Amino acid sequence: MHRFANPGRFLRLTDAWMPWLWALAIAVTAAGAYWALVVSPTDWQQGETVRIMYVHVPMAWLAMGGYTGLAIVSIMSLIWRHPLADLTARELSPVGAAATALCLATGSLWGKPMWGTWWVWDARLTSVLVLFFLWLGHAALVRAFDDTERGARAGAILALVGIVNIPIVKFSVDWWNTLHQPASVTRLDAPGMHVDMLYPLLTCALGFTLLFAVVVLARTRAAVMERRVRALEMARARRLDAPQ
Amino acid sequence: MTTHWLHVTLSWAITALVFGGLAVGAFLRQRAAAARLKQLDPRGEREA
Amino acid sequence: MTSRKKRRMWILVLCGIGLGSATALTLTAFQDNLVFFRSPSDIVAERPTPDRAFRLGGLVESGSVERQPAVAGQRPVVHFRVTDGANMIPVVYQGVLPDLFREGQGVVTMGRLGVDGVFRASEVLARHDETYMPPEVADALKRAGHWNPAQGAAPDAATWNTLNPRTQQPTIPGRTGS
Repeated sequence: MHRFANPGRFLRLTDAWMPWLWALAIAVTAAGAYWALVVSPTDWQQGETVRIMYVHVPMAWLAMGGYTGLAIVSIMSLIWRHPLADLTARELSPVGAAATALCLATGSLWGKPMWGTWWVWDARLTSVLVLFFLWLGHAALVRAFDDTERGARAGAILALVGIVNIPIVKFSVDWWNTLHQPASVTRLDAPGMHVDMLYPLLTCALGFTLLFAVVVLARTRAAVMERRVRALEMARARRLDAPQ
Repeated sequence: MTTHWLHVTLSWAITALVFGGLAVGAFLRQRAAAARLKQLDPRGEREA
Repeated sequence: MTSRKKRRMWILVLCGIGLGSATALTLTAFQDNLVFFRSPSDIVAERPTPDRAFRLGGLVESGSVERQPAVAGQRPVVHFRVTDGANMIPVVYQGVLPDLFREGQGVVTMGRLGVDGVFRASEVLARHDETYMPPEVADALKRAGHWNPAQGAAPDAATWNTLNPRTQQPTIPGRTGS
């Protein structure tokens, strides 16, 4: 990890990967979208509406997986005070909030024709809404301080307090009775889903995860460079101000 | 278009818009930052 | 790791334990309030008063759905029974049912239990189970007599989730002949 902790080295190392990561993410997502929207079969009860699953489920996984990632960089930020961990957390939370918002919106669009309602306050839907507010809260909190380091620390503490919500989201459908159904893909060897739907789902999940990762990476790289630009501009201003 | 396809289309469209926007935004922001950095520090002395 | 970093790590670990146990205690305390619906057995065990609205959940009993002939200008009326295997509650509902509503399907209904023991629903929501299968696979299972959707959940996923209905017949392990 310490190899990447130096922002300059991080920029140099990731520089060569970026075009490949972009290409791979876009290719896998496009293949997944084609498979899900054109090739994959309908569901015997849901008909065509099942195709919402191929965006809803990856967004739900990203919302939870991304938040776990936020908690990990927050631990690194609090214990080792890595500046790169602070920057990653700051750039991660708006993207995570977007994925969670998409999970909620597509779930709503799916729930209306299938369940008969856009929204219910059951344990699963409510805990995902809480997750969305945690993402938004983190994004706002780290930007609320003039001192970026204090903002990063406050955000890291919020992220770690909010991690208790992740097992609640995951297990809400098992612990309590909910309108939302339990997970279909719990073990890859015995999913409650036909392989003709499972493989496009996994492809879409991989594609969106790569896209999520490359977006966060690009934003973090941009943030590192912007920080250096600010430092250089300040140094130049000081040189110009100084008496000749 | 049936309601089924309408909801499917809406779901995919908002996902494409949001992720497309994030991707384009991140790409442009990174390119702009790299260009400004090159302008300020053409030899990249402060790398590392 | 320096002693300062070690100390920070231990503070985090302790905070995590405290936060985790506080959450676990709170969730246990609110267990009952987090229940979204009650089963017919819950209702039989503790009958709510007719003025209390609550959610009743279970499966639509096979053969229980009766749609009343539609009256012009009015929303259709449907009678059915909600069962959890052990007990059942008759339900009457006037309105449009969701697409997934059918016999054998899970439903969550909102309403009040009348003194006559009939649950008057103001809202019926369908519950989806965790199985997803193409129509051809569902048809193959039904044709082979392995599954009647009106009678309950689909058979174990391992028996059908790799089935190619064009070339294969479904097999049920532990069952010989058919």
